[in-house]
Amino acid sequence: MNLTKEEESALKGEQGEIIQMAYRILVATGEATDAEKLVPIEWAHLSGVNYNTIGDAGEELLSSISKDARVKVKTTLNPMGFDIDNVKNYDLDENFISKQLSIRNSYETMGVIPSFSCIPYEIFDIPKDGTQVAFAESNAAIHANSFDNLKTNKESAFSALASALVGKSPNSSLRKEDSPNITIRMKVKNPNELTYGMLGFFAGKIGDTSVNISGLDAMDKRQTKAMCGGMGTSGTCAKFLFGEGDSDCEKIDFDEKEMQNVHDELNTTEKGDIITLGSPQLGLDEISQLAGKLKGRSFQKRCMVFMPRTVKEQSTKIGYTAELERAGCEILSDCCTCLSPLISKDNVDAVTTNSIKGAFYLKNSNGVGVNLKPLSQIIEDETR
Amino acid sequence: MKKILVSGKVEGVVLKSDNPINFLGTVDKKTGIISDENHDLYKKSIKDTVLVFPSGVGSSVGAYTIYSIKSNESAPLAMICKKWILL
Repeated sequence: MNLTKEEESALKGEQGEIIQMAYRILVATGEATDAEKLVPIEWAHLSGVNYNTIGDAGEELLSSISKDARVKVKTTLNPMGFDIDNVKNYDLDENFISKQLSIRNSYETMGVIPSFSCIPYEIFDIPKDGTQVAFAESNAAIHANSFDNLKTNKESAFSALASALVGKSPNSSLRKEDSPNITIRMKVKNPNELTYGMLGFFAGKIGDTSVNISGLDAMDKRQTKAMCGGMGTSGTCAKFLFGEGDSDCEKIDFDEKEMQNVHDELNTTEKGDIITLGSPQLGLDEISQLAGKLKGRSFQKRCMVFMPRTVKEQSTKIGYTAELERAGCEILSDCCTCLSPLISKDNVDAVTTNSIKGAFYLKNSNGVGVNLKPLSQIIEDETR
Repeated sequence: MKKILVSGKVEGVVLKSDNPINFLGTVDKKTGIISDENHDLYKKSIKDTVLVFPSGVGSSVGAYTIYSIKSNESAPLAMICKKWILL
């Protein structure tokens, strides 16, 4: 990589140990991904917040570096493990709560905006087309590249943190013009958000850094988020380009059979004890639609609904929160379905969800059964 | 093309996988054991192995899993993969 004099000096440790560590991460990442230089970024979005995912090692690392480290650019943050407003309703031990609050404190000390959201693209203003950012959180990186005209690598938690501290990121392939060598042709008729989640999961398995995708109808937010979440879970791929692509692209169909394979991999049971909605977290549009669908109906079992705090505040003002609570929903902000410590196999055998991303982590990490259904079906089957 | 991202010298037994690894959620951060039943290393531990696999996939937080298994002394001795990963 070509580094400036200042970057070379930082890499040697002349700006302190933490900045040296950040440059070591960025340069190693850059070398691995054929970046010829570092480019300035305007916004970093960090993952590695939930104590359930980063553990004591992560908590201690953040606590230690936050003594000196400060972010150089606007930096936002992924969900943590619980909503402080109602954590007492859940069976979480004191150690979890205090470690989680330590993590929150470390990020705030470093100057990070405590947004606790995996949908930064929906709750913050999007900068002008082509702006360089560094998003960890796989669904957000894919959304930023594919739908928001931003440029980001599919950052790791550490490369995004290093980028936030330095204000730069490697100029890897996703930041440059790319021409995917694969085109996925969507063939499934009448897709819902679950179909798009499975399409994303399928695409992530076969795509490299980006894929072309054709045959899509107009998609709503729930569907685009499901597709980004699905792809982020299964692959290294971090961009959809819409269309057939070049004639020499390998064409691969996503039809009923391919969809069934994804379904069979992630759906392990036909019935859940509880329902979770929000992986990625729900935005205001989705909350509004959900409140509409639940008019005059109530869930017959627990239903956890995850959203960013800003969305919860807006929902409360508009009256959606009251409507959802009346219908039996548990409203949770600042956290998410993924690796939630609030869902444990000690008290839950299986979860019903419309999220492919949520399904993957519930199954593999929480160790619970998963029953996949689109939202419309969940409401039909689980409410009266 | 061969690239060395983190250099060092170790000797150990190769544990080879044909499946990519999503470190978050499928690798236990204390023990290094794989929990994904669809993975060819299901129930195997990557601790103290020379782990050879196609690539990392999925969550960006897998980076913290790798950091955790290293802190918990359950990390592989070395990792060799085909495709670049940002972990």
